[in-house]
Amino acid sequence: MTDGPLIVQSDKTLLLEVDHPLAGECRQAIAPFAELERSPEHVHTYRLTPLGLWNARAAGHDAEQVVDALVKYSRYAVPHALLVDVADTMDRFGRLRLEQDPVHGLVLRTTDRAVLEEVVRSKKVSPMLGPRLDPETVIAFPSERGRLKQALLKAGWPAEDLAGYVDGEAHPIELDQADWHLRDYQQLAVDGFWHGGSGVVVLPCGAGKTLVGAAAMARASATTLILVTNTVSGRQWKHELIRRTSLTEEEIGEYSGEKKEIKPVTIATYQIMTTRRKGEYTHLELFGARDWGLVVYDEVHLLPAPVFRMTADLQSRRRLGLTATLIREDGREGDVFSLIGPKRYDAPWKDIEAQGYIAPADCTEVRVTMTDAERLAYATSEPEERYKVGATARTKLAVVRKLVERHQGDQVLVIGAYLDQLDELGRVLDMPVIQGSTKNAERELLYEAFRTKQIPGLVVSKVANFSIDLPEAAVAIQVSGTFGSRQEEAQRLGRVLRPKADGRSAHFYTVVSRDTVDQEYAAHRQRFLAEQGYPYTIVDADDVLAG
Amino acid sequence: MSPHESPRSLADALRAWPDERLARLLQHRPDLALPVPHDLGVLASRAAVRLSILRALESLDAHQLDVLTRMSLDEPVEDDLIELEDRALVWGEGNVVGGVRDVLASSSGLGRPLAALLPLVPRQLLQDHLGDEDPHTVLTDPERVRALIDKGGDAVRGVAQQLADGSPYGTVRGAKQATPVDSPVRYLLAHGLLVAVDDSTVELPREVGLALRQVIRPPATQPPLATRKVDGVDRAAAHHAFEAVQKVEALLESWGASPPGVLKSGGLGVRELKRTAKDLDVPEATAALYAEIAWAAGLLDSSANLVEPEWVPTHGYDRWAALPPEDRWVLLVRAWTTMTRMPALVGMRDERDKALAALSAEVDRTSAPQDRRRVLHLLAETRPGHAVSDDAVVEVLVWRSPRRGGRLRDQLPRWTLNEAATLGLTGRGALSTAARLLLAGEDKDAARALRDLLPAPLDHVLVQPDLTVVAPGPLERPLAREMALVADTESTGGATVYRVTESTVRRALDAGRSASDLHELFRTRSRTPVPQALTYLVDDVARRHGRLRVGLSASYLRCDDEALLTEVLASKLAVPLKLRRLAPTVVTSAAPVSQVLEVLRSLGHAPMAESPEGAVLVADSDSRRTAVRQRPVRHGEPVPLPDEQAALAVAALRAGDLAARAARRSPVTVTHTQDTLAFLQEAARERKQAWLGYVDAQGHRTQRVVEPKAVEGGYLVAYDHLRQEERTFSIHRITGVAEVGVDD
Repeated sequence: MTDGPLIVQSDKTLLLEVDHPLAGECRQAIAPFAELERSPEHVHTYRLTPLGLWNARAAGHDAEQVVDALVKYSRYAVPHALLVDVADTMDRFGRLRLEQDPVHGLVLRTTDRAVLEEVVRSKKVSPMLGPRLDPETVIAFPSERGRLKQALLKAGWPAEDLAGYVDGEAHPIELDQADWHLRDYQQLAVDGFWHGGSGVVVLPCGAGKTLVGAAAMARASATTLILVTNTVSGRQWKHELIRRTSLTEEEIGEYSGEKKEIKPVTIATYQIMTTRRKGEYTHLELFGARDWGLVVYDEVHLLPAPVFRMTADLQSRRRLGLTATLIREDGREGDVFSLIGPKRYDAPWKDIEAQGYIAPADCTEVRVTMTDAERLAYATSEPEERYKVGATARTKLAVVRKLVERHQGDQVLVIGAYLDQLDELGRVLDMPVIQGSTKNAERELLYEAFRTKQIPGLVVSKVANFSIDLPEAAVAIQVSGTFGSRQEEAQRLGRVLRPKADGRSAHFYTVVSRDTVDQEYAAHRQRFLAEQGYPYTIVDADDVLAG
Repeated sequence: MSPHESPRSLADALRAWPDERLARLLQHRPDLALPVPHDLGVLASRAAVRLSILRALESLDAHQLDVLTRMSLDEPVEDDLIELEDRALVWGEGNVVGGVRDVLASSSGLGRPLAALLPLVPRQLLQDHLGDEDPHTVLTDPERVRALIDKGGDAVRGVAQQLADGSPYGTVRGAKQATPVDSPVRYLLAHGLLVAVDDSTVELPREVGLALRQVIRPPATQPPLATRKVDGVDRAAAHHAFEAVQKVEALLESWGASPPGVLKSGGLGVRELKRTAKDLDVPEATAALYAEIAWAAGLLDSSANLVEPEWVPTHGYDRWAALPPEDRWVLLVRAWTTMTRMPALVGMRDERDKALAALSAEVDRTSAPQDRRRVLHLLAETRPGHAVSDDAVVEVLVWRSPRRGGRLRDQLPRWTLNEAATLGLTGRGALSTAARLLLAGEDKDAARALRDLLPAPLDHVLVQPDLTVVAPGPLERPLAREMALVADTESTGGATVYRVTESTVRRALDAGRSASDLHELFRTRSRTPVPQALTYLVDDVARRHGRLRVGLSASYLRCDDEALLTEVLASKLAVPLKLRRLAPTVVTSAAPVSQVLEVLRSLGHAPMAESPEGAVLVADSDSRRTAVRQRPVRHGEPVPLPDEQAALAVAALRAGDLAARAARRSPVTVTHTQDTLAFLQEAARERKQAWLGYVDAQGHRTQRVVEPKAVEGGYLVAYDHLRQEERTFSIHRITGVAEVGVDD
């Protein structure tokens, strides 16, 4: 029996003991093929999934390397069946290849006739294939390239897409690195992406995904379509691109509910892309409006289903997905894999934090005890109202005020989900409130004032969950949320993780009402943080108020 | 009779055998010696009984079987017959024992011989297609038969092959009509390869069938072996061995807590099996295997409750669970090798399309131990560290005894190999050192060999801030039980990952742990600092649990006699109970029921505990056990006698034979109906006369000579020389039989 840091479980999870002397080495060895699922303080959990193994194959790793790594670092004997399964699974990738044939155009070629026989007979796959050229090759319809890959993945024979890309309309873009530099991991991410052609880069919030996008655009030097979650984040992209690249305001277009500009670089929102009139997606033509050389998908884990369908038609364009997590609440990770591309780069949060690129964060749960009147109201409320009643308890106001006082001088974000509560907090704390109905122009003004420290804090609704760059926010206080969403928690924490000029820690507070569902949901959300390696402490509101 | 004279019957031949050869016969065919036959005549008739022949044929290898088949078709053979003679299947100058012919003809799916079928074919038809040559000559030559069929093409071969492999009969409309050769069937008919016996039935002649039979080829003398490092094999095997032990324990623990019901027809319901498989995180087939082994090892049985019996661990389980893992493994594997159960059948469909249930009588197969032994011993023949592929094992075993296993022949070895891998007898396809020792009967050494490979039990865990607890290896049993109580298992394998949630903490508190017990558990057993979130969780739940406990764990006293309550309240001994009078007839106590009971008893009262519904409470452990119940004794197939016993049996036979021949004149009393039957069947087949001892309906004993015609349904139909007519005798009234006209 060796004394390795890794324990292989029968459900295909891998446990890595972090304090083990070989842990670092082992992490390097397994990271390419195993998905990091949880990284709490002592034992990290990785999972072997077919997608993960295929991602590794796509990145040039073979089954032997995987098996070697498992056997080498495993503390106990690795079940033989698991090793066989790993080899079998990895062997399935690349049996089928999409290639560009000089005469026939797009073809599906195989090294294994039996596999080709199987898929051409499949009802799901055959309509996307043309005539057989020879026993190993069959014509594929270029228009079906994406759907074909999706169907092949479903059939368990993921195709390797070697058919290449169109260059698109050239457009010079250069990084303007006068006062900043691309960080190492950002460079690695861009290299990984470019080498693979298309794919997804996974980086934590605040690690500078926009810059990875900008660098990829510079590498492509072609017209680019950028898809973002909302208008504000779109404007932020625009800001960043103007600041960090040779692009000028005139070269960047905004395609949203408000403006419909199509320029060499066009930023569109998911929302506008999925807007329907009379059951038709009316803005689809944007994809064909220019000969795009690169399509960037921001926050890939939120990519809506219609955009997936449209993306299926864009398979000859280079595609870059950016996200903090590949976990999709709808379980469509497979579609990301086949339509955007395999994962090309991934770095755990804590590693980047250790390099000083994101701020360390203290997470604290403050528990308030509701007054008797509030408890009575809570106890007698309808089940569907309970969370709201618990989460919006007025007792929280005093605690929030105290916390804000404690961090006087820091830029504070107060985040909540219920408008009444936000308005009240705005009054009590004397801070402006940004919510869904706030006009974009006004939002930008307020964000700008926050960035320039004209105002010490903002009260924001869940509009602030995504992609707003507020690097100065050092303290986030969340008072209510969308039930137990893990993603929301990650996004909110991300708001305060931008590195601070003076290297201070960020503070992330969650104020919860004791003995209510509010506390249960908080526990569920915090589990996600703990799994990411952010342990949290629990303090009593009385201690906060007394301090 | 001199030894050089050729024998006139099998019995005769046997008499001439030396003792050692007789002993060998009894070892080759162990069922002949059960019980030891009275004399050699009986032995010979027993050897000709259908069931015994079927068994004997199972022990033949493909070559021997081929020779015997050809002999039974009266084809000349030039092979060595000694093995067939040794098994009393062939005697004298190449005489095939009568029963063998019947068995081979009926069970091998061959049609009638050409000699019987060709006369049915119009001569002209054959002449048109085969030419002037004698059709019999052409069609009895396997080479030419195959060539003719090849000429017909794939479709023709397909049809012919189907008839050769299955039933030789087919249905064709207008089979006898003369039509052009426009289909595979017509091609076969025209060439005499298939014969129309009436206008709708065709039959494949025996010789054609034989020519098309798939020839079982001898396996490569050295089966393909893959070399593995012995310690790698042992490590992998130990991993599975340990897992099997853990899973069996987990299964029984889970059934002890919530026992599944026993189906009306016996066995375990499909849904229960599914649930168990899910709980154990194993495939259903594996769960069935574990349950079957647990039952066979006496760790599990149906509860004595006759109305709604349940599957419950036995008292033996607790003893087993207390053993070190290596000993537990040995007990499980022993139970597996000897059990007459075939767990792989679970979930398959019977003739009525009903799924076979685990732990039901339908999964019982007397042949199972022998089938497993054959596979394991084949593995044991390889050198340590050599893995044989499943296909190679099947190939060798099929060659060694093609008739064994029936329809399941090719699956049985695979099942055994799968099960052996699951149980950790093999690792990476090769037999482990421990398994080799176990097969050699060295249980102690086997356990020792395994012990050195098992991870040492740990006394600590790692508690994480996300409220998971990781046990980085197997835990000491008390700690494992404690962890299973306070946390849910999230993943198993080399390590165990537990998750602590509100409900698991509550479960622990329900089970009588206090918050400080839990804090203490984590504080002393965790190698990592206990996260604050866990401390809060325990305290939170405990705080709320306390509110519940007011009703649950605090006790009350209820008494119609107010004076008696007053007396209790006044007693000094009752002070620690912190009694409080709520009403004249009701007193509450802060102490648990058990303490209240104890104190009250020490005061000389006779209190009774009540459940919240007011029913009387009886102390009961929360996990249930049952006694092992009486089981019908199941024997596996007869096993060869050891040498000395075989020699003794032969001596007894010889003595019996002498006595029998001395008493030849009148029927000998034969004790075993089986022998009577065998004798009469043989007599009927060979049209021999027989002495019959008979008791008629009035109880009169008679002796008569009869000519048996048939034995069926408990009756003998025979021509009775006494009455000069054919009549029917009840077998159970026959007191004895003997041959007639055999001189001494």
